[in-house]
Parts: sequence; C-alpha cells; structure tokens
Amino acid sequence: MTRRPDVVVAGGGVAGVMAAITARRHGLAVTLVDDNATPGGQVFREPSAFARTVTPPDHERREGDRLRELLRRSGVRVLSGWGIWSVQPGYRLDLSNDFAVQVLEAGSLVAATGAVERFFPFAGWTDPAVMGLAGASLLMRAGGVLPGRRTLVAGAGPLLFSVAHQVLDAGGEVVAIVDTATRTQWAARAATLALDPARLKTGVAWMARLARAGIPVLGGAVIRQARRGEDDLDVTIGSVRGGAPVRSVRCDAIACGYGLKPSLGLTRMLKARHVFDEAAGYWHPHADPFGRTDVAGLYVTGDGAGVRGAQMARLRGILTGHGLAFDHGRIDAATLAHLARPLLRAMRRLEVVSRAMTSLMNPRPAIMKEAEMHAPDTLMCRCERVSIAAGGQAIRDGAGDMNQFKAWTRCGMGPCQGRMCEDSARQLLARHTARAPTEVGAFTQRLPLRPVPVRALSGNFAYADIVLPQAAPP
Amino acid sequence: MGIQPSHAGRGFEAENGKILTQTVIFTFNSRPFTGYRGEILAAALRRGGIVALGVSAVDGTPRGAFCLMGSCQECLVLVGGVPRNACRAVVDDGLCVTSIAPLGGGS
Amino acid sequence: MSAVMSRPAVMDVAVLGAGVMGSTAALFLARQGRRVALIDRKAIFREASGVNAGTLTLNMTRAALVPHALKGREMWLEARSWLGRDVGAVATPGLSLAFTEAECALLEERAAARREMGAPISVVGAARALEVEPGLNTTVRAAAYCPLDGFIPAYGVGRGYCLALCEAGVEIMENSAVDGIARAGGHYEIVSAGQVIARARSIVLAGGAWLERMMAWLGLRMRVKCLVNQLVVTERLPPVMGSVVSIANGLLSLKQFVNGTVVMGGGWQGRGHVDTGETSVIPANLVGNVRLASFTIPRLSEARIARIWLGFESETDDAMPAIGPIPGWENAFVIGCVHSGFTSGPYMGRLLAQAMDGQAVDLKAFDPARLLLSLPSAHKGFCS
Ligand SMILES: Cc1cc2nc3c(=O)[nH]c(=O)nc-3n(C[C@H](O)[C@H](O)[C@H](O)COP(=O)(O)OP(=O)(O)OC[C@H]3O[C@@H](n4cnc5c(N)ncnc54)[C@H](O)[C@@H]3O)c2cc1C
Ligand SMILES: Cc1cc2nc3c(=O)[nH]c(=O)nc-3n(C[C@H](O)[C@H](O)[C@H](O)COP(=O)(O)OP(=O)(O)OC[C@H]3O[C@@H](n4cnc5c(N)ncnc54)[C@H](O)[C@@H]3O)c2cc1C
Ligand code: FES
Repeated sequence: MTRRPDVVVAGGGVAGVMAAITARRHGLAVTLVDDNATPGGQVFREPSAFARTVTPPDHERREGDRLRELLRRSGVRVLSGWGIWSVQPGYRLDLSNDFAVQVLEAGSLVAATGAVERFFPFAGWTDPAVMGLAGASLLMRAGGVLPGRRTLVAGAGPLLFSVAHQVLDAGGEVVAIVDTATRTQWAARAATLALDPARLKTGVAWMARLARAGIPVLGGAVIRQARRGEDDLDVTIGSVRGGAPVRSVRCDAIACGYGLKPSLGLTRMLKARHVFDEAAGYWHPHADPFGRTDVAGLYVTGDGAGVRGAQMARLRGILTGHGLAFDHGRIDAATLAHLARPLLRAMRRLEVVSRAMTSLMNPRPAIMKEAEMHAPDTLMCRCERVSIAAGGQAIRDGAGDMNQFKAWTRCGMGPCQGRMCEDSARQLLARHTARAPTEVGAFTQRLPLRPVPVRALSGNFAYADIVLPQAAPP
Repeated sequence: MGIQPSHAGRGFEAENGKILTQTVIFTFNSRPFTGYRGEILAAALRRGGIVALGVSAVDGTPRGAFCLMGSCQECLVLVGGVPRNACRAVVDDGLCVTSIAPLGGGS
Repeated sequence: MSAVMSRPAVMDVAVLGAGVMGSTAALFLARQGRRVALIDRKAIFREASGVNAGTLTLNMTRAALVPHALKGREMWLEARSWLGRDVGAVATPGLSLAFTEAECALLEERAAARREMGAPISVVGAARALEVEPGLNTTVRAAAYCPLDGFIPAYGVGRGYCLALCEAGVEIMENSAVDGIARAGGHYEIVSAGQVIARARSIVLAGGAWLERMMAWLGLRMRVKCLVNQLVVTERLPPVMGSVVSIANGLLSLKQFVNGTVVMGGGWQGRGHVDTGETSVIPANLVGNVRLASFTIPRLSEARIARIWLGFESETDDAMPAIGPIPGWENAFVIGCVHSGFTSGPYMGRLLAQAMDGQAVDLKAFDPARLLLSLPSAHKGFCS
C-alpha cells in the first residue's frame, strides 16, 4: 500500500497535470488518475509512434510532450489507464481498468475530467463512417489516421475548422464544412478574437487555407440525412431554418459535433452545486477561480469547470494547484495572492474570447426541431435506437421530465448512459412541453461512471469468499 | 465498405527506422493486421480499412468508433475474450481481437 | 406551481402516492365511477414501483404472501385485460439454488413453507436444475423449482398506467409534494407548499416508504421498515439464462430481460435516507452481489456493469401489507408496505378499491390497526 495522498487529481489533461505538478511543487503528495494510456488528455493526447511520422509536429504535440516530461519528473504518482467509476464523499475513489479494480482515498479531490462532445442527431448518423469532431481529431492526432479519404465536417464551433485543418495536414480531402452558425454570427464574435492574438492568427491562417483549397463553408446549415451508397455516403444538407435542401454532397466519412460540455460525472455524484450557462447551453459546477466548489475538499478545474479551451485550462490548473497549497497550509494568503495575480490577469483576457467561442458552439433548439420536422425517424438514442418520433410519443403519453422520459423510452439507458443523447432529450422535452431546458431536469447520475467489467470487480474468488449479509427471513 | 485513408507518409519526425521495429501483428475477426505497439486499436484498425468494429446490440446495424474518448461505448470489441474499448486499448503483438457477436434478441 | 389557484373542486377520492399501490387503487376506483385525483410529489411510478427488479417470484416471496403473489402475478401476465395494454410481463420458471449442505437444508425448509401456502414448488437435484437452466454453475447441489415465476421491466410500466388512468378519467397531479392533510367540513383538504391543491371526501394514503410520514399527518405512528435495495444491470448480452434464479438464503435475484440485459438483485443494501432521497452504494455489498451473481451464472463474468441503482422498499414488521381503513379517521384508507409489493400490487390495489366500494373482501390480515403504535415518538427517518 502506498502512502495516502493529500490530493487525488482525476484527469490527466493539461488542467489536471498542471494542478498536480503545482500542488506537488508546494510539497503535497499527489496522485493523478487518467483513463488513457498516457497523460495528455484530449488536446495534448500523445501521438503514437506512427502518428509522429505522418503528421507534422505542431504546437499541441510539442506542448504535450513537454507536459508529459514535466509530469514524469514532478514526483506526482501517475496512474494511467485507470478510470474512476465510483466516487464517495470523503473521498473514496474506485478505479478500474479492463482487468482489475483498486481504491484510492484522499482528503482533497480535483475533478479535472474535462469535457465531452455534444451531439445532435441526423438521419444516418449511426453509420460507422460518421464520427465525432473530437473523435476525428483524436484519431488524427493520436493515431495519424484520417477519418476517410473525403471527409465532410459538420456541426458548430471552432473545432470544425481545427478538424478541417488537421485533415488537410494529414493529406486528406475536406468535402465541405457545414456550420450551424452563420457568417454574421461569426463576424459578431470576430472582434473579440483580437484579444487573443495567437488564436486570431491561427483562425485567419485556417480560413485562408480553406479558401485557397476552395473548400465550401456552408453557414447556417445542417446535415439533414446521410444515406449509405455503394462505398460512400450521400449527404443532404439543409438550412437550420428549414425549407428545401440546399445541397447534396458525397463523402466517405463525416466528422460532426456541436461543441463541448463539461464532463459532470464526479461533481454530479458528489452533489456539488451546478449552474446552467445559458449562452453555452450546458450545466457546469459552480466554483471560485481556484476551482473550489461548494463541497469541502472538492475542486474542479479545466474544461470541467466550464469549457474555455486549452490555454485557460492550463491557467486554471495552476491556480487550482496554488489553491490546494493554500488550503493545505503550505503557503499563506499573501503568497497565494501574489502567485495568482498574473494568472488571473491572463485569464480575464482569454475569458472574453473563450466565452464568445462557447456561444458559437450552442445551436439551441434549431437542430432537433429541424430533424423532427424532416426526419422524425432519426435516432436520438444511438445505443437503444430510440427515434425522435418515439420520444415525442412518450412525451405526449405523459413523460414530463428527463428521468421519466428515459424510463418510458430507454433513451439514455444503454452503454453510453445518456452521454450521447442527454442534450437531444432535453431539447425535445423542453420544446414539446414549452419549458426552459433547465426545467425539464437532467438524467440522474448514477454509478458506474463508466461500464465496469464484472470480472474486474469480482476478482478471483471462491463461493466461500462471498461475504453474505444475513439471510432474508423466510 | 473499406476506407483506406491515403497518407502523406511524409516522415515528419525522423523515426522511420525506430518505427519499423515497433510493428506488430494482431488479428481482427481472424484477419491479420499490422499495427504499431502502443497505438490505440481503433486507429490501427481504421488504417487497415476497418470502420465497422461491431454491430448495434439492438438491431445489428454496423457501428464504429464514434467519440474516441470512452463516452459512447460503440467501439467495444473483445480483446482476448475481454470486452474492451478499441479507442482505449492499445495494440500489442499477437492480440486476438473480435467483434462482439450480434445478440439477435428483441428490444 | 402557479401562484394563484382557484379553490379545487371536491373529488370523491384523493390518492396520495402514484406507485403501483396508489395507481391501481385509483384506477379501479375511477372505474367504479368515482372522481379520483392521484397525487405524487414526483412523477408517476418513479420510486419503488419504477425502479424495482420486477421479479414475479414465489421462491423469494414470504410464505404468508404466496396466495396474494400468485394472484398479482396472474394480473401482470394478463395486464391487457384490466390495464388495457401489455406491460411486458414474461412468464418463466424459477429456481432457488443451494451450493452448500447448509443451503440444501434451508432450501427444503423454505420450499415446504411456501408449498403449504399454495406455491407449486418442488426440490429437485442438480441434473434437473441444469436442465431448466443450462447456464447455471454446475456445482449446484439442489434447487427449489417453481414453474410459476417471471418478470416485468418495471421502468416502463408507469406509461401503461398513465394512459389507463387518463382513459378512466383520473386526474393525475405530478410534482405535487403533499405536506399535510386537514379536515374541513365533510371532506379532506390536501395541502402542498401551504396551498390546498385538492379536496376530497375520501383519502387513500399510498406513499410507499413514506407512509410513516403520511400517517404522522393524521397523528398516527405506524412502524415501517425501510430497505435501501441495490440493483445492478449489465449491458445487453446474448442469452445466458432463461429463468428467474435465486439462492436458498434469499440474497439473490437474477434474470435476463428480453432485451438481453441482466438485472442482479436480491436485497443487498445500500445507504439512504427517505427524507432526502439520497442513496449511495456500499462497495462491499456491490462486490458481494456481483460475485454471487457471476458465481451462479458463470457467463456473467464476461459482462460489463452498465448501471447500479438503489431504491426504497418498505415493509411492515410482519411483511404483510397495511390495507384498509385508518382507525379514527372517517373515509381515510391506507395501502402499502408489503414485502415484494410490485408482484402483488395490482391485486392489492384492486382489493382496496373493492373494499371502498362496499364489496365483501377479506382484509383482516392486512388491518392497519395492528401496526399502529400508541405513542408518537420522534422518528429517525434513517434507513440502515
Ligand atoms: C427492470 C429494470 C431494468 C433496468 N434496466 C436498465 C438498463 O438496462 N440500463 C439502465 O441504464 N438503467 C436500467 N434501469 C435503471 C433505470 O434507469 C432505473 O429505473 C433508474 O436508474 C433508477 O432510478 P433513476 O435513475 O430513474 O433515478 P431517479 O428515479 O431519477 O431517482 C430519483 C431520485 O430522486 C430522489 N428524490 C426523492 N425525493 C426527492 C425530492 N423531494 N426531490 C428531489 N429528489 C428526490 C429519489 O430518492 C431518487 O433517488 C432499469 C431499471 C429497471 C427497474
Ligand atoms: C430496488 C427494489 C427492488 C425491488 N424488487 C422487487 C421485485 O423484484 N419484486 C417485487 O414484487 N417487489 C420488488 N420491490 C418492492 C416493490 O417495488 C414495492 O413493494 C412496490 O413498488 C411498492 O409500491 P408502492 O406503490 O407502495 O410504493 P412506491 O412505488 O414507492 O410509491 C409511493 C409513492 O408515494 C409518493 N410520495 C411519497 N411521499 C409523498 C408526498 N409527501 N406527497 C406525494 N406523494 C408522495 C412517492 O413519490 C411514490 O411515487 C423492490 C423494491 C425496490 C426498491
Ligand atoms: S469510440 Fe466512443 S467509447 Fe470508444
């Protein structure tokens, strides 16, 4: 048994790594848990040996490698390849990989579990050639593999352009970009980009590249249907405002997604206070700049506290590390203020830009409305194959909140446990019952946070090893 | 329905020699594939033209890796008989990977 | 809730609690021509009645309840005839297993007790048990075999009820947490958040695990045991079993639903509190439950756990229900707190409706009076 750490950091993305390293530098015993094979998280996911030879060593790769190196030398105990499937106050964390389980305990817990992608359905989106934008990005970054030869990029937010850029870099073709946001919406936010010159420069370079390559960027548009052909997909594109289809294209892969939302498993399980961000369209835990939630000893940092991108995640991670040091009596208030000041200043500037981007990712009810109108048979629940029409019927039968909706349709009961369909369900319910998305609730968070193999949990045992409670009365 | 992505193969990092030594052979549904030790299974398979990793447990329609971050669970395969996410499990020499058999049950 | 509310019309009956007990009573009362309001602080069938394991078993039902469970099981299987729609009830055989000598003895004893009460249970050897359930661990020594068992996916049943209740003209009031009852003239006033949300000549208290609190509104103390039952469901699997399986000590209930998921239960406990509704898993109990299940059906060890949840099951001291008039209160009735109440729920709900209609039904064994404690004492509200 290793020594009980002062802090467990859940999540090995940039925020978690920085929080861990910073706390460690202040002398705290830190254990970091991450379910990927190596630390780095989503943006700084470690490229495979193959990927390193076929894609250019960009900023993210260099930064990621540096991060891994820092962590390696930091004295932080790192548990890679372990997922947290249960958390209990105090804190007890149950981890599993595909073969075993183990338990960690610590007085402080940092939820640095990042964000997950938000999806809305279109007809044909369960075809295996369709994947998430984040997924496509990870496939290229970590695996050096293209989603397809000819990729259609669709959805909302900056990730659209980042993925298109990655596809081109890896020698692939981008058929078109289908963006729910209109040019006007982008233009309205462009000015704020000036506050973040680095991001502005990147954005301008991406756009110029797309223009040079003659790649159509369809604004205010959405995929209506993808039909499987002989060896490719026949995709119909419509306007977010309905009406006749605007275009049809052929491709052999689709990367789609509607922005990111904080991953809330841990904070929901621990009943931290969550607030709904109207502009972004998601819930996030309520936290101060150091990541302190309203639950003693529970911190949330990085995108898990609200999606703000990698740069902010790094700063937030460092701040959380300092905050931990203060809360554990390693530094005094003056030192904390001194350390925090430059970070907070940098964050204030970035905040404006990040918020503008987040709101661009939020398509509001448009997508579900469009899909229900043009293709009610579209599956909103991929796992359980529940169509939008079936969802509508359950609501008409009397399902008035998220959990009743789930019980009556099985939407959200499959292996993804609602991670893919919760936003669709919320929008459908809200619209059909003329209420705000916040009023229809959320799927109840339960364990396990990820599926746990029975064999990993049960271990090797004999019948006599089973600790039986008292027998039931006759 | 194979997709064989074309790669630039431009050798961005001078590691080609080292890379080759990391090549391993594994099987997917009894077919041999080449992978690089330590890369995620989903990537190795897609490079080998495998997009559908299995089928929907509800109606048997083909499914592939969707989120690549452990959320969707649609990349579940059996690796040496153990259910694992192909977006998380990494390639190693001699791995025996199979699709999960369709259930053929009702809903 | 709207700020301004007109004085609600006086109904014939207000049923408080929309689980299987209250909803069935409401349905049959409405069919008798009464004007019924069915009130729940949450949505219909979202507590025990919507989260239970849905086992329709005689092997695990308390012996004294066997006759009622038999009738309830029949009703579920024939839901079309009285609910107007099928709710997915499936009839299968049931097996209760013994793996040790001690369990063999327990098995004999429990089977005999149930047989006496009318359950067609016989103790069979390993070979016969494996014939009924080829998925079993072959080290099984003996089994109590019952041809009459089965299950229902409980989570969807509320939908069928909701439609049937609407057809019968019941006014369903969800998200209405009642916090008191007042007597005003010849009727009862149902109070929620300081407002009278319903008025009725009769009331039926059907609050499940919350019945102790409801009785307290009337100044009565009724002892209710509350269990925090744990259930574990796997992802969909190819067929691994075809019957309902338990073990002699009663600590396992296991079956595979039509959709391929396997639900493991058996009364393993979590932590929880009925007042806050909070529940949490006790890790050792989770491991125990899962080990027992995967020992019994070895192929379960290849599965993954999709979800674990806990629900509040309530029980009286003798495991028999409280059904009937509330002593000292005119036109006030109570129903609930029976062991394995989902199985017998439709039958018991109908019984109460019949009794309220003046029909000659025998509710003696269920008389709420037997459960009342004379002196009100501070209740803890904790579930172990
Ligand atoms: C037979 C069966 C099979 C199932 N199969 C699956 C499956 O395959 N996959 C799957 O994912 N799930 C499955 N489920 C689980 C299903 O999702 C459960 O019904 C559910 O998980 C249990 O509760 P819930 O998630 O709806 O929680 P909820 O019902 O949403 O829980 C509500 C919570 O609110 C609490 N509460 C109480 N009072 C209040 C109050 N005043 N204010 C606020 N809250 C309060 C309650 O205590 C309760 O814990 C199955 C269920 C059953 C019965
Ligand atoms: C996990 C679990 C597994 C089980 N497995 C089985 C099984 O396999 N087979 C079987 O036969 N039985 C099983 N049971 C038992 C069975 O579920 C219950 O006996 C039965 O559902 C009880 O029904 P009920 O209507 O009395 O209570 P409930 O369904 O709990 O209904 C009570 C209702 O009262 C409402 N209420 C409470 N307070 C208020 C208030 N102040 N105002 C308004 N409304 C209020 C609640 O919201 C709730 O909807 C299980 C129970 C649990 C929890
Ligand atoms: S691709 Fe979604 S979990 Fe692996």
